[in-house]
Amino acid sequence: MLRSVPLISVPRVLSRLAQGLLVVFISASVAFGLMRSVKGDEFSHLLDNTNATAAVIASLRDDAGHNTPILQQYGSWMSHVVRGDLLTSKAYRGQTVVSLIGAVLPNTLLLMSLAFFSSLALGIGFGVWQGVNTDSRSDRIASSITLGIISMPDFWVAMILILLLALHWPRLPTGGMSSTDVVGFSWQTLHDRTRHLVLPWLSLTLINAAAFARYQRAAMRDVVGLQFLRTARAKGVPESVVISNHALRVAVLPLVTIAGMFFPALLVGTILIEKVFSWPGMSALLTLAVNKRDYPLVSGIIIVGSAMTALGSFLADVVRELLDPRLRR
Amino acid sequence: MQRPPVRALLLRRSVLLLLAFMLTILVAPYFAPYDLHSGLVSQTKYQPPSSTHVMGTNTLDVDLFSLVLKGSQVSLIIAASATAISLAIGLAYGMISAMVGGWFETVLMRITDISFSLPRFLILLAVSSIVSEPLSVPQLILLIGMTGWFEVARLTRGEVGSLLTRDWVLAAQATGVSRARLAARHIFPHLVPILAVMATLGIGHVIVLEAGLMFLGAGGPQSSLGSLLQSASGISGWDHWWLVFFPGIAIVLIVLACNALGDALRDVFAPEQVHAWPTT
Repeated sequence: MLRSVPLISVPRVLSRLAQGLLVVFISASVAFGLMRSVKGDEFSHLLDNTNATAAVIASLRDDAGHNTPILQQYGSWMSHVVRGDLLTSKAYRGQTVVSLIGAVLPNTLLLMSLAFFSSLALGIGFGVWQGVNTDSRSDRIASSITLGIISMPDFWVAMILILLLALHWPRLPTGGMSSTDVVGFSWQTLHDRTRHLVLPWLSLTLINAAAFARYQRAAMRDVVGLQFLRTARAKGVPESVVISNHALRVAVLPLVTIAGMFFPALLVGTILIEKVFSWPGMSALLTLAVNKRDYPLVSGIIIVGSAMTALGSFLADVVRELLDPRLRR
Repeated sequence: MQRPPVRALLLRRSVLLLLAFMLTILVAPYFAPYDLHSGLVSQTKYQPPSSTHVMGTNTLDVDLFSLVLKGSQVSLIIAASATAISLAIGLAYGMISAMVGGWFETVLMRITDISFSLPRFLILLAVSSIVSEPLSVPQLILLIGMTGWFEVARLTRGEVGSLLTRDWVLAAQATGVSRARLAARHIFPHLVPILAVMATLGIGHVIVLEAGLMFLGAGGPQSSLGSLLQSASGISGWDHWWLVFFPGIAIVLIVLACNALGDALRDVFAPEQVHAWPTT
């Protein structure tokens, strides 16, 4: 008897959500531990650089809660994190970490999401084609190419693209997100933004599409020999429909899981490529934070980074639940 | 299960060739054409590749080919040692959790799942910025090794879990074999193939990771391939393409060799569980 089954198992989704939150919580704890393991604090430099006396600095430390027990400091740090109210940056005086990250995050997300979806589409398409024509001559050549690409560091691919294309083709800029002389909202602006986006997007897409293609090829190979496809062919379903509707529906499921696991790598890749192209995103902030030893900013980036990847894999889990009827019990 | 076909493996020409390549990298710097500290003697800085300097020279007159040989050695040593640490920790953790089982196993595996999701790259970068001097080679090895074992533990646990259901385990237990002996003499030999695949893929993965860390400004060993690329980035690199090209090609060749070796090992042993690790 048919029973109506919910599209999504709520307990499982909730437990995945809880795990994602736990990851962010532990990242915040690690960030706290890192900040506290540094000798000196944000007031140490005052003694050398200003006229402040030791007594004034001690009272500043008192006000900031540095003399309270470590557990109490941890509790106050966590309550700040929960409220989304991180500390103030050291390198940018008076700016909160949240406002600094908030200013650059959209740029990173733009590059990251464009590259993610295009590499997923490209990788799945390429992998399916390889999986169907498995062990043919073209499949072997394609496999060597993808193996070569996944062996390259992301940022080196970007550097080589600059050397190959941008230096000989000035219409493709090597850095930044927009030209200074193009402002306002117009077709010209859109064209300018797109021009700046091409190379960073291309480098990020190449690397990730090659990786996705390798996984998709393996997944497709596992499926093409299965009985239900023979049944479909036997009852006269055209080959293209067998592949796209019957085989791919099964073979794409592992890819959704893999895509969810890919978010940490994707974030790191984006950060590295942003650095090559001086893209005004998280990378610029991170490099500055590391060089200036701006620990509040570093820990803010760790927390936001972990939240981004946790959210990404959570969404991948939800998509998998929606796509795979076998999970609905 | 059959014994791993080691002979068949060693007879494969590709495997031999790739192993020989790795060994060559380890000894190559001793045969480098130029001394790395001999810079600034001749006025030959920023020389493009020529017959005297096959990869050109850098800003300090140093022969890039000799630097790349040294860098490949340093990067390979870092990656191999860090991977060895990750494998050792992950193997012990995975085996213990699978053999003890029950809630203990569940808790341990939940810990690895969560640790695996932490932003490892960002945390490593933060740690390197806290240490005031550039990281030394042993520090870098420890840091990368101690944060890279979660996936090894997960795969080992899965493999041991499935081995434990075999009849020969029951037979061994029936003869009164202790748990430690069961693990060391009966289970472990079956893990060698999966470990070999994880080791080769892991080395390639760490080389890329280290290069990325150095590129983003984590202070580290000056001679690694990542540092070479880092110093070539920016203005000097765009005018002097060889500074960008050759260290990168060295990374690609080593990682490609690792990935190809991993694939070859997987074809021989066919442990289905090990897919190429997502490169971070």
